[in-house]
Amino acid sequence: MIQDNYSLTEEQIKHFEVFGFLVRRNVFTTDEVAKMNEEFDSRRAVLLEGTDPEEKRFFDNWPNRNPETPFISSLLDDPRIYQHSEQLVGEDSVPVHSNANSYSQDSGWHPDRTDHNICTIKNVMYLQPTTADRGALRVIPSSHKNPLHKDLLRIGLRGFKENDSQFLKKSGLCGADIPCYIFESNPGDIITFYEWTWHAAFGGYKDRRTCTFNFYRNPKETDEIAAMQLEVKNYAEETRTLGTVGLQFHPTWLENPDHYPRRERWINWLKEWGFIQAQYK
Amino acid sequence: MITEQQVYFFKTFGFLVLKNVLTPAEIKNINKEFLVGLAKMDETKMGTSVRKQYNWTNLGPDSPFTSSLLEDERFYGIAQQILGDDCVGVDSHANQYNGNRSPWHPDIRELGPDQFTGFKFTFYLGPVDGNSGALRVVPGSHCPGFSAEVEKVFLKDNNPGPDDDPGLAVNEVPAHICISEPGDAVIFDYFVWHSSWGGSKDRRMVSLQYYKNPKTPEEKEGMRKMVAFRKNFNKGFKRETKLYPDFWLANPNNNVVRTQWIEQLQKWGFIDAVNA
Repeated sequence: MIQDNYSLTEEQIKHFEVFGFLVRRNVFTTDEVAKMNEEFDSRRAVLLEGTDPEEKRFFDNWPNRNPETPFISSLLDDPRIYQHSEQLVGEDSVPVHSNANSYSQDSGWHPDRTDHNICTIKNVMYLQPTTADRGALRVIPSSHKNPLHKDLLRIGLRGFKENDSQFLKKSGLCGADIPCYIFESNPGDIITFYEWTWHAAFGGYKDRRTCTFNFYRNPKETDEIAAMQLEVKNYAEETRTLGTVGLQFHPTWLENPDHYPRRERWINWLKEWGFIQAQYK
Repeated sequence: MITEQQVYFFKTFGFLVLKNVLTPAEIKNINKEFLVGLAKMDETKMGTSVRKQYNWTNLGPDSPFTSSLLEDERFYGIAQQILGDDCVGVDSHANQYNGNRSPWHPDIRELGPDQFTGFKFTFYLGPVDGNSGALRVVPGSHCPGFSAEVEKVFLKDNNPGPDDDPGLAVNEVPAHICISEPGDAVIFDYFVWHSSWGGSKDRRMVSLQYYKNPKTPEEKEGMRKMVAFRKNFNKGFKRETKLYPDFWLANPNNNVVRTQWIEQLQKWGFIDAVNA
């Protein structure tokens, strides 16, 4: 296990709170990224074998917590992923999703979540270099908060594909015209953002790769608890809609062979809320 | 005129870029007038901040074409769309920047959006990009909640943190860069946070400023405060000429719009305050 201190400074936390995202550079080494790409290649190849080649898929995605991708799977137990996440959404937060994603085209402007009763953050690492014209993630600063968050919904900016956005259609603008911060990155850099934050990527290409690690704040208030119950209820359907292939919580990960206490806490929480059971529905 | 979607864009993000508003011939004319104004500047009139800025009014007799832009339908028409038919053209300035950056700031901190509404058009007379002094804006930061949050962020230039973590440099704040060619214009709300980075000597910019005519008691009180604010603000610039020169106030062409504006500015006490 890596023992270094990967804590965020107060200013980094403030940056995240104010702008809704935070960038950290060179978090993983070139060798580590190569290992991730290797595992990504082999897993993707296996999954593509079982896919209809005629099917036009927006993106392929699969959970990381499986024995075929042991290194990527282990990243959740790495402080470079969990330590700052716990600082941002609580020491009792839990990684509900850990996915590998292979995109085939652009991602239009959208927030991952609009219900402010569920607080989740997403850590995203691109496995290839990105630039503004070639798939870099774009985020609209402070769009995790209202009024900006809701204003963007109201004007009709949302559209997972560019053509879906009513605002872009009517204005004659393209997605790249929307003002934002562009996360141009090298593999090993990580951006963390609230899932309420509006984001997009343009200049997409086949097999644009990311690994994502999503942490959920442990709900405390009545509204938060109700929202989390709804999240669990919809979990299986959401997973099907996204086309995620395979189990999010693979039995080998649930075995926790090294008896990591943190993972033990996560597993208990996931069981209590019903996420683990929900993946079989 | 701008489209409904452009109005949404401006209201949502606090700024809007307009391409090719002025022709190359007009830019040439503005540059010619700019040089006349600039010739009257010397080092004693340069601002002392990192901007190294000269600033003078365009409303004098040296710049009749630039002055007329305030009343030009291409600008005034858009101001009316956003601020109402009875909005007022308040100012037009020429600026020459010689510093390599303008630190982050909103133009107005003293009032809230319930008290005051206004914006400025800016257009650069040369091409500018992210590393050569283009305007940078934090989209959406004209909203009071967001603006108050930005105030909390340590900024190296003008809100520094402790020595071991002095804060963000201008180019480290997440922002949109308004890349601009001569002829393009950017409209931005007075409350939006903006800056520039990487400028070199002789970066030229012209601004046109418009205010909403105050209607509510809060807005009327806001205008009273604005008059007091502008009176003090203008003392910070080392100008020789009045902000409202006699030439402009005389309105030699009897422009109807200008007549209305002068009446309104006098009613607010604006002319006396800033010319004092």
